[in-house]
Amino acid sequence: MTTAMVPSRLRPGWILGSLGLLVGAIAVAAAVGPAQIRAWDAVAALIDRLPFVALDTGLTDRQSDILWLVRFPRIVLGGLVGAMLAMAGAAYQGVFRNPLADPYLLGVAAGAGLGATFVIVTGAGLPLPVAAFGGAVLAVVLTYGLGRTVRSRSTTSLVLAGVAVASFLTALQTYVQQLNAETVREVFAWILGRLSTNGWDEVIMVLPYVAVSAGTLFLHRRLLDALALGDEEAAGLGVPVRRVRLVVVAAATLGTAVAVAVGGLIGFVGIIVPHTIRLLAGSSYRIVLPLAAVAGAAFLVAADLVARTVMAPAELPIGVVTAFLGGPFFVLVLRTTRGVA
Amino acid sequence: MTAISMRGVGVTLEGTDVLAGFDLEVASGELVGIVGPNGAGKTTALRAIAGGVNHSGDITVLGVPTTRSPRSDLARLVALLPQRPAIPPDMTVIDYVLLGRTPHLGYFSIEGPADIAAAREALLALELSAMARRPLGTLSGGELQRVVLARALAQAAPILLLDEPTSALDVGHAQHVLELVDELRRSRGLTVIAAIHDLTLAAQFCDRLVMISRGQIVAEGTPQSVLTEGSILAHYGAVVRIIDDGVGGVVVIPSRDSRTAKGDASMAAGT
Repeated sequence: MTTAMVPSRLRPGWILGSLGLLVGAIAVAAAVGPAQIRAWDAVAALIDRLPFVALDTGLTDRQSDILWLVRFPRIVLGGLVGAMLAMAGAAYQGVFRNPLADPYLLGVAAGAGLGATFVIVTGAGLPLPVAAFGGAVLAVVLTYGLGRTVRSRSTTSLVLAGVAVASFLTALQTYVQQLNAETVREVFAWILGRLSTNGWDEVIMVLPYVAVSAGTLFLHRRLLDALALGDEEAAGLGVPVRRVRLVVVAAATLGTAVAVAVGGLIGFVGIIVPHTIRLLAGSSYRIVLPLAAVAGAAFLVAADLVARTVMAPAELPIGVVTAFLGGPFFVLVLRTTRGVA
Repeated sequence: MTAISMRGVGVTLEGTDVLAGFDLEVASGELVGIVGPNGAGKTTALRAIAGGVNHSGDITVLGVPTTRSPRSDLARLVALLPQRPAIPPDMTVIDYVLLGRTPHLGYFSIEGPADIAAAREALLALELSAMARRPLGTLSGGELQRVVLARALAQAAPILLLDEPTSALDVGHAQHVLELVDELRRSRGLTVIAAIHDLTLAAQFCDRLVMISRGQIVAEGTPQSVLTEGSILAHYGAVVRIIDDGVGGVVVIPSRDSRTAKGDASMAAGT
């Protein structure tokens, strides 16, 4: 009888399954492109790099260079961005108790875009992620403040506030972008969301921010579950509600800002991935957060693969691919969560 | 031993005095019922004890002044069950009960085997073990009330505050829940304060009743001494008949038969 009395925990099957998805997405993404590389050789090349393992990958030097200097950096960057956006979406949903919260819909991504544009245009001596973080913080404060002033604080009022903030900040961003004709192309290519990379530079740049953000969110997984009881009951159980909300929002916003700084505006990953996990594996944040990291990475690697193949040799912005899937998915979530406060 | 002591407690919410000059002593192991009309301040009194609302005056819980102890310390002493607890529909029963362990855990800690054992024990005590893995959204009102009670038991606080635990239940489930509360109080030595809407139920289960009206205690003592036709007319504006049930309780029956009674009501309310 007591065997059934087990709390929700992340089961190994789900970890293995999502890792399988990720490895599959990586293998296909590494294999597909103008230069012919077999998927198995790409995986072998990865395994070969592990310590104490030597594999004959059968790759030429040129193929090896393409893999290690072009495809893998882009895959890893896409994976980091996807993991970050999915975790941030899940965290916003928990902390705002709102299933529709998403870095993109809350205007956070637009704020990050404004901050980053400002740096590109003015050449101000700030690291891109830091400027993006500044803009993102501005956006989340505006959205949350606006959402709270609405009399009936329903699920949708926060999202509507986010839409208003996103439109306003995007208008500002466009204005700043057009101020300087020389950088318009650069800003434009970036804002649409493109994971074209320059070797491993971007990966190295975002890695510390991603580690801090993802680590902080993961450490709060139990407290995020407690917040599901609402502020008053959670506080009654001794949860320092304000501190938890502040830290989680800051971490999710940092993660979003970094993702936007290197990936541009990529929407809906934070809606699609966490909700699919909740539906399949369970709604506890001990399950949702780690799986969102792995599945979010796999999702964005796959989306980037689509983005660069459907119109090859031209590239579709990756934000277009995620929105194509995310729009209908959002409507689905909206329909099924009606009436939830 | 005194479990709870309130001295001159006042609470002001949005400019209105919700509680004023509130004095209450509750001994360990007592089951005290708080009765009073809607809006009298029953919920606020319970929230003040649990540290959920700012107040003037002094409240001590087991000798500890509540204003000087952090909320998580207080949560190890006092478990408050709100009238309408949040029920996340997708959360499983055992996950919900496990949240009761929150005050016993550090900021970043995750529940250990002892916490899980405490949650299982609470589920067993309330005969919920068969539905441990079910999502809360699939339970009936009576089952939910037991689940919420199980969370409070897992919290392992010596003082239990219940805000209208039976208001959403039919007569059978209401009786069953209060029976459970009384049983748990005796077996675990808990002190219980319950705001109870149904006066007859309150009289049957509580050693002592406290009647509040407009934020003040207007009567206190045995059910027979607190629930009189006069006090109910004065504070509820209701005409009732009180019948002694012969086993320590009273039965309160609303009646609307005579015009003179209504005349009395307006006279009594005016005094």
